Amino acid sequence: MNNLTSGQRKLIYMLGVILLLSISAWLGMPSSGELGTGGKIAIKRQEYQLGEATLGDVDPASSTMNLVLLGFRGIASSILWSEAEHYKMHKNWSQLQQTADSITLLQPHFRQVWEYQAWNLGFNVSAECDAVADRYYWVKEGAQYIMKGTRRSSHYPELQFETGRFFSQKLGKADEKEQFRDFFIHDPEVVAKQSKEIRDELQQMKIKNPGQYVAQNQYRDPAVNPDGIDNYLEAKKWYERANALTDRGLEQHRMDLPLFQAYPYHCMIDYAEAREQDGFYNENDTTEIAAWDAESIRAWKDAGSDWFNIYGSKVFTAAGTADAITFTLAGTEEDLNKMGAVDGQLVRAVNPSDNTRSKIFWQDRYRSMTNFNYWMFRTGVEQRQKLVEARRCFHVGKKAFRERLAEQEALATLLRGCQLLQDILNEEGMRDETTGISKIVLNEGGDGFIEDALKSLLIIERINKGLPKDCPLLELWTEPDLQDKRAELREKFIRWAGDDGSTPSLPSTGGTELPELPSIP
Amino acid sequence: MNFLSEITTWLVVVLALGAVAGLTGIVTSWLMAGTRGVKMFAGVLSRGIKDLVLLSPRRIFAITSLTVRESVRRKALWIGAVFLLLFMFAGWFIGDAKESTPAKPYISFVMTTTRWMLLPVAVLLSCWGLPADIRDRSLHTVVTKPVRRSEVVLGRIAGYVAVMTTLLLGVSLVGFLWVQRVVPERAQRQLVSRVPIGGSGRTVKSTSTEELEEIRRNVGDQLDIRQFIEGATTERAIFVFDEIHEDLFPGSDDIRLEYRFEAFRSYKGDLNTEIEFAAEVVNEKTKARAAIGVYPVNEFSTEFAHVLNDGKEENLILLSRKLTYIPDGADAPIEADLFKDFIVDGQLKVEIACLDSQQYLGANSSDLFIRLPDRPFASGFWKSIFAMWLALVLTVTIGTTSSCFLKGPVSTLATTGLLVLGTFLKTGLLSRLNDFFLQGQTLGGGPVEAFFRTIWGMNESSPMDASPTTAAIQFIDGVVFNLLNVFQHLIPSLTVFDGTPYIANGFDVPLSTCILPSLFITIGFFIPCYIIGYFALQLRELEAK
Amino acid sequence: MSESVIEIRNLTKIYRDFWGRAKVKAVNSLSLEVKKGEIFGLLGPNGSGKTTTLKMLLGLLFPTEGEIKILGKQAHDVSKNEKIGYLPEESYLYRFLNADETLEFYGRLFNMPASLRKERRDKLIEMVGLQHARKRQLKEYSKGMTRRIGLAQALINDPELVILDEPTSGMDPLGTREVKDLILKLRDQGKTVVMSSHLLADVQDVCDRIAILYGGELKVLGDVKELLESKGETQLVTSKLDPSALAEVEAVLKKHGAALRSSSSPTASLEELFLRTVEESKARPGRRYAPGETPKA
Repeated sequence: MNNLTSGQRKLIYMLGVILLLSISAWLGMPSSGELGTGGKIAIKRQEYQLGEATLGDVDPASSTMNLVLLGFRGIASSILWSEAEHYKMHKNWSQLQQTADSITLLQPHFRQVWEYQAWNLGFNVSAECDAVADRYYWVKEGAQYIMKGTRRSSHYPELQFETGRFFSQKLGKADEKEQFRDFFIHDPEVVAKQSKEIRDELQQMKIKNPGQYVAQNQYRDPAVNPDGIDNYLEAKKWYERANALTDRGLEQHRMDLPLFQAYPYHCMIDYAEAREQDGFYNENDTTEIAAWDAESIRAWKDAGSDWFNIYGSKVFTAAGTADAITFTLAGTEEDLNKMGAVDGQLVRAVNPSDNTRSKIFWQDRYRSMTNFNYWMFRTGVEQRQKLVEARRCFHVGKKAFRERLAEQEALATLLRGCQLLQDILNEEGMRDETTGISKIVLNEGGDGFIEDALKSLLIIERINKGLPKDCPLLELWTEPDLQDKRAELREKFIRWAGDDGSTPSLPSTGGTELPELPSIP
Repeated sequence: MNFLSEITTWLVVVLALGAVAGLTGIVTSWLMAGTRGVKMFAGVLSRGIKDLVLLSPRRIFAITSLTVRESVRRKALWIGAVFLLLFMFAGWFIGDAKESTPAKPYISFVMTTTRWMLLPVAVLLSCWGLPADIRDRSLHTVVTKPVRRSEVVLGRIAGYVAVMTTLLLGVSLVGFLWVQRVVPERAQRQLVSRVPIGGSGRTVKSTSTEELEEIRRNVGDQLDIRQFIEGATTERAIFVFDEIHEDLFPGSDDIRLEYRFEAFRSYKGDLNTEIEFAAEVVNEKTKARAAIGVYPVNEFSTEFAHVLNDGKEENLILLSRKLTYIPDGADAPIEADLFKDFIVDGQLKVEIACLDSQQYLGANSSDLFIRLPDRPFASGFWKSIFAMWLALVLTVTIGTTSSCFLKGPVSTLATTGLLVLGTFLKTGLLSRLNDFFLQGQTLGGGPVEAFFRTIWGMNESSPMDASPTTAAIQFIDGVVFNLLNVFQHLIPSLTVFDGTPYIANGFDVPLSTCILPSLFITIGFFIPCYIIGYFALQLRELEAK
Repeated sequence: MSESVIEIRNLTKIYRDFWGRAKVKAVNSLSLEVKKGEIFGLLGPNGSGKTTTLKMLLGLLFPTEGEIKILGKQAHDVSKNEKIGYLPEESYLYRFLNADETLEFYGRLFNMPASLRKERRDKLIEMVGLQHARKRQLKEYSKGMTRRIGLAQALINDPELVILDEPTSGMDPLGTREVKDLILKLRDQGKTVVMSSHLLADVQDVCDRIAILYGGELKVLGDVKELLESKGETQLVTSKLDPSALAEVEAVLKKHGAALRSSSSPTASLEELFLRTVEESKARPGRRYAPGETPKA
């Protein structure tokens, strides 16, 4: 190089510049908007859907920040991340939230950030607060955080799915579910903002959870519950959005697709279940009761029909097979046979009936994986007037006992509920043919109305100083599968009652011979 | 902070520096020119003292106004416009503003941006002015006038301080108005300067025993911020407030105590009621105790709780002057006066008990404080601006001084380095030194040990082999720590100057832990910096290439 | 004999490199004396040590050896500056100030009261002819204008001793003339002027005494007239003579045992002297004056 003149050197530099420029122009030329136009990078960008606009809303603030940082956003967001951890450790929640926002400003298309920090706010921070209203506030913050994620990065089914989980699992299954579900309709924040009169009234009543006492629909927080509906129904919408994305072929990394897609329909079941457990306001109002019964039946019917008709007719592909074997969960053999035409070639080439057989094989496997049959059965049972009535009895009886109303009345109501349930269990075809155990108990475990029934038995035991000999549902009391559940419920019950639980631990005179009770830790 | 010991430390450091400089001066001049050199040194010293003391305000002012004019003509004030822009687009940095957003992020934003935009300006202005003067030789024309070089140093510092003051005033005024405007209505009440009197708190097993047994109980937090006492037991959190006198609460019957305890539930319990605690006031001498009341913890309570309460303050315990209590052995309660019967030698003692069985209440010293009448937000805000101003003065002083003997870029680096050390690293350094000198070891060892641990892939706490190598490594680290312990005095503790944590959390900026220490640190650095700057400028040949 | 304003004895300045090794001997055992009321010129080619000497006088540089007494004080004594006016080699002024502000600033440095500052300011600006540009920032000034304002600031304190480093550099002939007149006027006011220059015409025109430096050493020192007077020669300047008259003059000279050596017009002989000195110094390096000896004028 040294023997080149300065002019020659400049010429070489110039050529180098031109060469590099033309390469980068060839690679980086922007697309004209049509598919397949523009430079190599633009084409790839379209192909892999990496363009800012294809990923979600474009946020000018976010883009500007990234521009200003000149490629240092990785460093910047790492610093912010460790700051967020610092704030979390020091329980500085508002700063944590702010920092979490800033991180997503820098990295709006990083799915795990949205998930992780939403979890941080909605679960970790929430759990730190002592008042339920405060906990709910942070759950909402977490939900709104991930909802923002769904807008900024609209191509991740997981984000939509997680939002659904905030509304269904977090609100519906937490220990505070009773309050959370109520707050979803009657937001304490919104209530707090309402007119001074209501506030004064509430204050006089020294009410901590004002939402419960304001029945109207307008107390929802439109940010999380735009339609003022039940949390499960809102969750269903989000799960459906997630499904729509997976239907478009976008991948999710949570679970097997049939399981993933079942969530909206589970929401329907959860809704029917939860609203029955919520009960009603006035047990003496027959119209209200009739309406409640009708709505319960309708909810279960809807849940069952969605489960079978919509979920059941979704076309899934068996995972892990060399050929794409498709099937539906609800399809009959005939249906599956008809589907053969769209399948992979290998199996069909050998034998069309082999094809259907493998479909049936996979359908079976996925049915048991998704508990398809059980939910069919369950929604079917729940639609019965008798079961609805039994649930109503459990609810009324428990409430009467809890509020220390007439104990004998409560006892009678609970016994009646138990009898109704026992009748159903005794019906034809409701038991496992080999063991004779109720199908419901087999599949249900200790949840749903079985839990209600166990609670009722605990109350009956206490009021009656021991279970009556002819008490219905004694099979639940002796069922070994339910032992843990009974122990758990008993402990909770004793804690609630505030005594040592010694009174009902032994059967009283005239009581039935009770099996050995689970010991109380 | 113990001012006497701090001042003593300062004197020792300054005198040590002076002694080192003087000794070096004498030895070098003696080596270079023998006895004549020593005489020259004495001459320089006596002239120096004269120059440092005999100052002409008019000449200093001339250089000050020159500096200001220079900065203005170089468009330094344009940084103010950048601020306006920042505030206009603050939403970008603060995130989604919601009704429920508290005031804290807004206040932090104003303070942080102000601080971190003005400090670099101060560094750049002060570090480049004098070197540019020397390079352009405009200083020749100045120092061939009857100007003492001490006056040049002072005038420059004063000029930069004037510029920074103007900027700071403008920016903070905008920031002040901006905060008032953008903080959501619901959080407006957080714009206040609470004036706390802090006490000392401890958690004990029981208060009835003579020897109090401390409780150290963590419920699974990463940081051991609070100690937890169990509910419905004899465990108590005791808070002692000193120097409490009636005249602190003029015209008010109640003493307000504010709390922010943490609750920890070992089981969920009744979700609709919060964990509660009872507060009692205790006379240490007579052992008389009077109940104050029962309160919910309101842990991390959000703002709408206040709205619900119609703007009433949550988390307040009102300690009334008129108390009733049952003396030992008596049946009926008797009336008592708080100040007469319960405050002994100005000491107020409050005991906190958690009421819920098997649930826990977490407390530390700062979780219960006496809240004197609030001051307006402006009080805290302008105090923290004053502290920030002191930080700017300190920066300008260090920058100007270093630019007396360093070139612009080097001086900028040096000053920035000192600022970064003082802001981010000194706290960590001090805690390391503390570990080393009090416990005899630090986690992961000193620099050499840490280096070897990194190389050998050992974690921080795995023990080192007892070998001569280890001994040697630890010896070197010991030397390093001792050196660091000496040199840490040269790093200004800039965290002290930051009033943001106070005002962002709604507290007034205290005189004793923020304003006064900042003032003393600034003066403490100013004096030696001025002397160093003068001698550096005096003893350097301005022409030297 | 009048009193000395500047006394330099055995002044040496050695620039050292990073390791303290002598790099350049900028001034070597220089001894000089400047008397009150005279115009003293320092002459020498570039790098001969003129400016270094002036800067040591002013205390900007520290001598490696030797002594300086200026106005009876040490060079590093700030108070001497009260009575000194200094015009640097190039006008090192603040370019963002205008003429008024510049003079105001330097006036303040002399601790002058406001009224006096204003009076001096107006007078000096008029004197250097910058009335039209007094509100313009110096960065817009031409080189000549900058020299003028530089001169004005050097005179702001009505100094006893004026030190001018290359006072006419960058000025047009007219400006040069004006400056020279000004220097002469300063002498008439009883001030002492020390100037350095490599423009010989300037020095020859105004200086009473000169010193020629070469390589940091004093080569020639003396009264300008005496130095230029060639001993053993008499220069006659007449009106134009025709050849016959010239022949007659020659005859007369022959009669007196003298010869007409040349008959050309007189030349700028300082230039000759200067060049001769420089040539001779190159051919025969070494001291002309013993160290510590103050050459007698």
